[in-house]
Amino acid sequence: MDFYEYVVNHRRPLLRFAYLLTGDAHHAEDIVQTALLRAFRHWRQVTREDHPDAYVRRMVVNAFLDARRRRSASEKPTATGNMPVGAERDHADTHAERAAMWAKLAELPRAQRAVLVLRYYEDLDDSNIAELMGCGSSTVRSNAARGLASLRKEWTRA
Amino acid sequence: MHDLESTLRATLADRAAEAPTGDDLVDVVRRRGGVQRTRRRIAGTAIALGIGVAVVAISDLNPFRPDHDIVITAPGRVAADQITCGSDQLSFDPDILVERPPLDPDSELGTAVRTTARPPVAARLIDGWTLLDQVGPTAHLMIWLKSTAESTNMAGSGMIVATYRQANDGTWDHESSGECQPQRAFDDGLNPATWALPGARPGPEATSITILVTERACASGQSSEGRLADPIVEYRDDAVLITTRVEPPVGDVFNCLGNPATEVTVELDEPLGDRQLLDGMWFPARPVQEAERR
Repeated sequence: MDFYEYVVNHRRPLLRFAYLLTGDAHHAEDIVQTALLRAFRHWRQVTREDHPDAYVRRMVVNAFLDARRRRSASEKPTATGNMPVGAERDHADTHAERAAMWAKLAELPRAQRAVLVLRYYEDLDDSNIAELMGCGSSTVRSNAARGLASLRKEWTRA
Repeated sequence: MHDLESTLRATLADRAAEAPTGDDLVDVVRRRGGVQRTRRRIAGTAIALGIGVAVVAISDLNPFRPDHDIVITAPGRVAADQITCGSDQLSFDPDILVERPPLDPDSELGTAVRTTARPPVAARLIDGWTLLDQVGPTAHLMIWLKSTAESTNMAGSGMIVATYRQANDGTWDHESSGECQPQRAFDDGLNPATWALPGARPGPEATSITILVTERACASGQSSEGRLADPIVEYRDDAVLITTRVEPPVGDVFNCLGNPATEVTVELDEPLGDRQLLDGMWFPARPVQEAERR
């Protein structure tokens, strides 16, 4: 598959995925761009993979997790108030529930957030998540459990 | 109230619809990737013609350059055609070490590095700047040092890699910097490792070599026993390159106390002969040292 053909066809799913990881449109574009440039440099190797898209998604996750190490001490995760407001909901309670959930997601450590996005948006099982994140399944389970526990605590309170 | 996991799933699906469309992403990647590829192709031709000169230029920067004459050829093709300064975060064309394309002095960043965002390097020691990579608000620059005793003391390689970050108001700030010791970039997820000979150099008839491998990354002093990948061996007319790689240790946080060496025997496809033994982790590859002299 030609690289540019890949970008044209896959950029939107990649950006949706990155946006859910970061909660920020500009940051999502940055990490997808970083991942695609890395993929471009090694495109022949990428296309030798059984699932090139999984390979690029791994690069997106790595770029997202790498950004954690570059983040300055004073920089904070995207605050609730900076997040885009969702479309109108029919039901005010549903809207409040999801807004609270989205806000709490932004506060989770990146590895926990990545696991939850991969599990509940990408519908990947733990072994696939482990492979994509370069860690063990037990780490995935533990990050998922901790992330869900944090969400549950806030969600119940809300 | 809905259950937590259903709400999480619905929240993510809702929010995904708000993601940017990336309509200009193709153009951005094409432009940035295309520029790099074009430069690599042009420079590659020049390098092929003048490799001898180029190699001398690079090896002059090498603080571990031996006293005797050594011909260091271009790196092998086993690794990616990129190099790093020792971090996975940034890789770039090795041709940059020779070409040293200057940072546009009139650009915002070019102005900032000389005025409001100077690095912790005295201006009198700086010979030039090159923009290695820029993604979003983060830029990586190479600072080329003049050849003086003071700059050699600061960075034996003569190169410092600096990271700059652009704030929302457009101003640039120096974030971090450190010496760049060029290494070949690999995309295998493994940690780099150096190696040394445990004793004297093997004889010309040797078809196996015992080496001592030391992981470079912080690993809390763990042995790399059981984590060593098969060494990469490259054969050249005048040298045999051995490159060692190590599976990262399990865990998230490590201290950097220094790691013990692990003994490995490398089988060669052909006798060593009178060829040099080079450590292929570095760019350019460095002559191997005997353990007691490290």
